[in-house]
Amino acid sequence: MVLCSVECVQRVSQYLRIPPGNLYMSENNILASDDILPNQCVEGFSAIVQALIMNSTSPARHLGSDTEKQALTRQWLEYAVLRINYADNALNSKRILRDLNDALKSSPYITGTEMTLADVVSYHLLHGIVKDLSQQEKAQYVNISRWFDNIQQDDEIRQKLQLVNFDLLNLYL
Amino acid sequence: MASGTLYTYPENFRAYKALIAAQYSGAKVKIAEDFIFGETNKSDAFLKKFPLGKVPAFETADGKYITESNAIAYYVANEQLRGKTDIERAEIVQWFGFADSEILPASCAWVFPLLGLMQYNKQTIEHAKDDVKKALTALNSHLLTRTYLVGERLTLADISVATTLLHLYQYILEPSLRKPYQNVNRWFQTVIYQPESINVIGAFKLADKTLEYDPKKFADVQEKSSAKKEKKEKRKEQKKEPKEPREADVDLADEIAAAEPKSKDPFDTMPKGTFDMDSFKRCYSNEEETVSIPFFWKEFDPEHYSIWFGEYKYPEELTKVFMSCNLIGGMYQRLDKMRKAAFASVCLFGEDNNSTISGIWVWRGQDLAFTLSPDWQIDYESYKWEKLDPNKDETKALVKQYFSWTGTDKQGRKFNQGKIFK
Ligand SMILES: N[C@@H](CCC(=O)N[C@@H](CS)C(=O)NCC(=O)O)C(=O)O
Repeated sequence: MVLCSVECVQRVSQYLRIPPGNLYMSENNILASDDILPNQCVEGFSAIVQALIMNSTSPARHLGSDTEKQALTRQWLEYAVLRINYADNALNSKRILRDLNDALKSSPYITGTEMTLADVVSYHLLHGIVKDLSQQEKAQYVNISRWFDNIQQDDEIRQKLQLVNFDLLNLYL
Repeated sequence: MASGTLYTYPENFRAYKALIAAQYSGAKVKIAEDFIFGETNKSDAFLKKFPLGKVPAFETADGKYITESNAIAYYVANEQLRGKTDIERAEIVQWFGFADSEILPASCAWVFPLLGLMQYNKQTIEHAKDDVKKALTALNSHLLTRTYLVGERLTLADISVATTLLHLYQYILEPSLRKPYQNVNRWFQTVIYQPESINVIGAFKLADKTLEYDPKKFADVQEKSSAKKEKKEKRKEQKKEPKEPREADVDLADEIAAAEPKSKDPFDTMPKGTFDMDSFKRCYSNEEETVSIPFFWKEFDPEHYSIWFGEYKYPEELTKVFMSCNLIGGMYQRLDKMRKAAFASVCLFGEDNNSTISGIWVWRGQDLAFTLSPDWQIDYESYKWEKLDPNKDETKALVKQYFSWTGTDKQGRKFNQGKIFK
């Protein structure tokens, strides 16, 4: 199983209100979409998400307000494919949670002081993992908990996903 | 939508609250032009509207008057910033109180002596350090599990508390001192690095090193302050004298000027020549340009003075017109000590999001004057400088255009506003 799946792209596309095109897994097991860009097949999770962003009404809001922030967002999308994609096994997920918890220590959002699509994508990728964390683990990864709780308050991002409860967090810190 | 005029001196952290809020809401907040701290706010006309004579003060477009920075910010904010529910709104008021009573007094007691604005007293400072520590510790644990102070989005609480912490982060909290407050650091930087805040505050830099106490500074500020008071008294007699820089009361307004070490006037080393800067400035203030421009050319002494064209290098960064005017005003203030032997008319052409800044400068000496004093070097590198030949017709035309505030910039943008350095 991988997390950067058809379903994840569908949720991102719903958030951006941009149709995802015809999504399928290509022969070499890569996610592809046929009609996001005219007469072109876009291959790969990150490329598809970026194409969706470029089709959206305000790419700068989703990628970042300057070129440096945009580069960071793109970099993160690649990281998502390479690493978070495989977070659905216990060993990998520990390592990824640790990395992400570190990254979120000094900045509130994944690529810095602005919320970008990197946060939206990561929220969707990690929802299944974060919702099963124990109270102790939520406290252990407090920076992720803070970030996740912030992101999930936006109904357009959360969509139909379950709200994860962080109310007892303080008791375990 | 809210609109009106904000009275304040430049770089007032209290005024920032309203200005940042207005960036989010789109409220039209105009900064009062020609505001002179200690003068405008003590005038009868001002006291009639705002009896305490304090700034920031706000006059709404329909003639209502508001004081207290938090109240002004609330008025010009939008629903998101004001809080969406009763509990959020209550929490925001709670943080207003926290900023004003838990942070501000302690911050002033610690920062002001180091800026030379207050007498140094070791005990007071130690006490203030303790209080700051307590406030930051409380904030830090609040922010461990929260991205913003109230709710899950930025509100007036964040704006108010962060701007109240500006001086501490700017002058005091060097890396080792701020290290224990990682959550506060993260949140603070988030608030002040939002594009809306940057538009108002500019690019903020956290302290590299804590300001050190320097007993000379206090003495200097006191001296300067009483010297200026005397001057002000004099000015009251001769009314139309060239404008003075704002008064140096021991107040926040002067911390920046006060932070500068006292320096000799570098122009004193150059021969005075025959051009009487003061009499030209008087003429310029009192007469039409049809009189003052010929007067300028009659008196101008090319051997001892030079004329320069300065053009702002980053016009693409200029957004709101009033912000750009602040940019010019801020530069003038930093160049305060140049006034004696310099004159300039700097103009803004164009409109919001499409403007340029350029000006004509005249000063004593033949070289770029800004390198003469370390105090003058903050702004000049953001401008392209070209020395003009006083004998050329083009120079005459430029001087006429800029002194009389007419015409367009090179790309044809119309004259919008001008500011005189005198
Ligand atoms: N609590 C007020 C304080 C305003 C205030 O103290 N303003 C000072 C300048 S920062 C002032 O105008 N002082 C002039 C005076 O006291 O005469 C606010 O937050 O707006």
